[in-house]
Amino acid sequence: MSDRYVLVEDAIADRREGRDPVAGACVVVPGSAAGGPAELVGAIVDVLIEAERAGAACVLLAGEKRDLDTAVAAVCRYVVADRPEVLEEARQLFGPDRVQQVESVAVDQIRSWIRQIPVSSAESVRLRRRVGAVAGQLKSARSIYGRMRRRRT
Amino acid sequence: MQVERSRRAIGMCGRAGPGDATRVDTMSELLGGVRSLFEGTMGALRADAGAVRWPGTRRSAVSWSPTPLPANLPPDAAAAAEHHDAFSLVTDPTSARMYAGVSGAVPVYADMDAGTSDGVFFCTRLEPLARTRGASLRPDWHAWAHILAAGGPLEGRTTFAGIHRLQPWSRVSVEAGGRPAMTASGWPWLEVAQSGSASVDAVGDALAHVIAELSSRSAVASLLSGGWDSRILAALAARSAASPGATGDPLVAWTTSSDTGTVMEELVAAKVAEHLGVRHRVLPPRHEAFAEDLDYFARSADYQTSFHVWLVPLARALVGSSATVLDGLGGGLFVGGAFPDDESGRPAVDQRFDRLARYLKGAEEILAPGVVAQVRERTWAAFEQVAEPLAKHPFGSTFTAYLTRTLPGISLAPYGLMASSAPVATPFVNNAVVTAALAIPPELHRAGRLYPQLIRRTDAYLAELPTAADLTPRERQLPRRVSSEAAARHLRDLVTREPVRELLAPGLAGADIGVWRRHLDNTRHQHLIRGLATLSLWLDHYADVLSSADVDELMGRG
Repeated sequence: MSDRYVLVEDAIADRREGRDPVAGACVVVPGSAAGGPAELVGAIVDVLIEAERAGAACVLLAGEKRDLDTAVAAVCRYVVADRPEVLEEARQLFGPDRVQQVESVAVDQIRSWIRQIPVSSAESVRLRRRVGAVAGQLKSARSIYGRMRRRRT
Repeated sequence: MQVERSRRAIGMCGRAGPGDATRVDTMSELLGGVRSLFEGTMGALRADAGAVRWPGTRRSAVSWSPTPLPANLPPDAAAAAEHHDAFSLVTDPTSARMYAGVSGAVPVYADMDAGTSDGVFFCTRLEPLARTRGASLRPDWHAWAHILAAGGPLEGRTTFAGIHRLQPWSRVSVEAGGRPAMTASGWPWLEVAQSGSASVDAVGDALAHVIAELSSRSAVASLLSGGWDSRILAALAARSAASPGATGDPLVAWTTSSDTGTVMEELVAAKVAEHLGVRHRVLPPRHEAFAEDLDYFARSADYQTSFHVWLVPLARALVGSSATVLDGLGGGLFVGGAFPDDESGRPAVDQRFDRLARYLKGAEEILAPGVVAQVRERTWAAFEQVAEPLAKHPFGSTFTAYLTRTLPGISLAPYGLMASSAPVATPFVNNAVVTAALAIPPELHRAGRLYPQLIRRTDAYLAELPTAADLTPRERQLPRRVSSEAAARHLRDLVTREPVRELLAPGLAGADIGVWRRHLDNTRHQHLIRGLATLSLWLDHYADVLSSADVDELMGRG
């Protein structure tokens, strides 16, 4: 378990400014009804690829049922919801292993439940390594991505 | 056979040679009422879509394919098979001939030993043949051994003894008063000569031509994953959709989860779709629908494989679509050089068998020891028949994998599952594409190195974009649907029913659900459990017509 998280819009901004946004942090994605992204387009895809590559969990804040029916929701590892009907639908869609009930899906309440999000042992090891390492010694997912592109040429 | 009102029965059935006319009527009803294209003493053919009558011939002749054909075909069955991968039935007053397509990827099943007549009854689905057979309907336990070990029945066997799947380039002749004769000799793909001057450009040109032709006949839909094959097809389809000769319908790309513990496939597919400017639909499987999806897939694939249950959400979404669905079948083999031999010095045939039957490694944790031995022995016996003649062919590993894995198992995803929803095309097994690819020496195919060259012609960005496989970390974190508690309970319920229960390793039937979930998180064990579940569903589905349902033969007691 980890209490580190980054909102997806902040991760996009970090990335734009050259920082590695997802090291050791869950990526939290607000539902589309609350203004979060619905489609897998633009910078969000790069952030989610980096998160997936780093083993970081991506968590959807589902305030309404329609938040569950988007392309972005389809690639989130976990869903948190605070309303019974949303929880029920999320469990049917994603399965109980991927759904957590929380008091509130408000962004300012994330810290109260983020530690409930399961982190596998492999991920914990990776996160500890990343958090404990000197930033300059880490290769960001983006740099790996770039290296792979070059290798193919 | 249940034909759902919402599912389109894209299929074909008929008779070659003399025989009971009412059997074709019944088969047609079981397919959902496909229309008669011709009915004569020496043959009959019914199809609801995809059939083209030959013009200007005194014979009765029809070609058929689940891929839209040109409105006019030359009256030449070999040409229809080679250039359009079409099945043809040609009859005259004294004979009938059936011709399978050059790829063999489209399943056409034939009851070669109906016992009641000299004719051969055929169908694109097994169930109409099985339920109208009349004669004793027995399981083919060799086929079931192959399904468990390799993912599909080898040597053209099917789950029913006596009913065969036509192999690539096979022809069946029926003369009045004679017995049916079948041959598959002269398959042109085995004769392609390699050339040092062959280039990937010819492969690209052939693919582009195939997709441009398809796009001029119908709208096209792309099944887009994070891999090379679907990316190449989507890029070519996007270009064709924008060309003057196309139908004008926008290309839509469809992606679902392959349930392998990562969402990288969906994410890389999204990058590709956005770059191509095509609409992208991502449809995850519903967790609660696992049991329904398993049953839907098993029925669609005629219970012969369980490789692509995860594709069902896309098949459901595409029901009734008029767009031709592009599937990358065969790309990994004929272009990507998948399943190469290693340098260990072990005999090639042994290596190839171990790759095919890798699911048997550790199988004693799932199957009773005697069953493992039976499954291995029966699979090896059939495999050897296919693989030995190919042992020294330059593309021996490619053809062995094609004939023992791609055709028996994988092909049923496009041509069993998807073809139940919409027209389907598999451009990588088009004759011109395969011929061009096989002209390139095998060593140049290794490790997928032709892919970036192939797509760079169309799109330099996509040539540089890593695939999902490149980016996926070794540790996969996403909980899988197939190993969820609900799925594990359903699978355990299926495989602990009699008689399948007898095939299980000691103690497994009574093991708690946690043990089953751990097995389902192991790819090899999961494969075996899915295969056993498919057997259980099949025995249940055909309980009213099978002459025997005991599994003694698989236990070595037959």
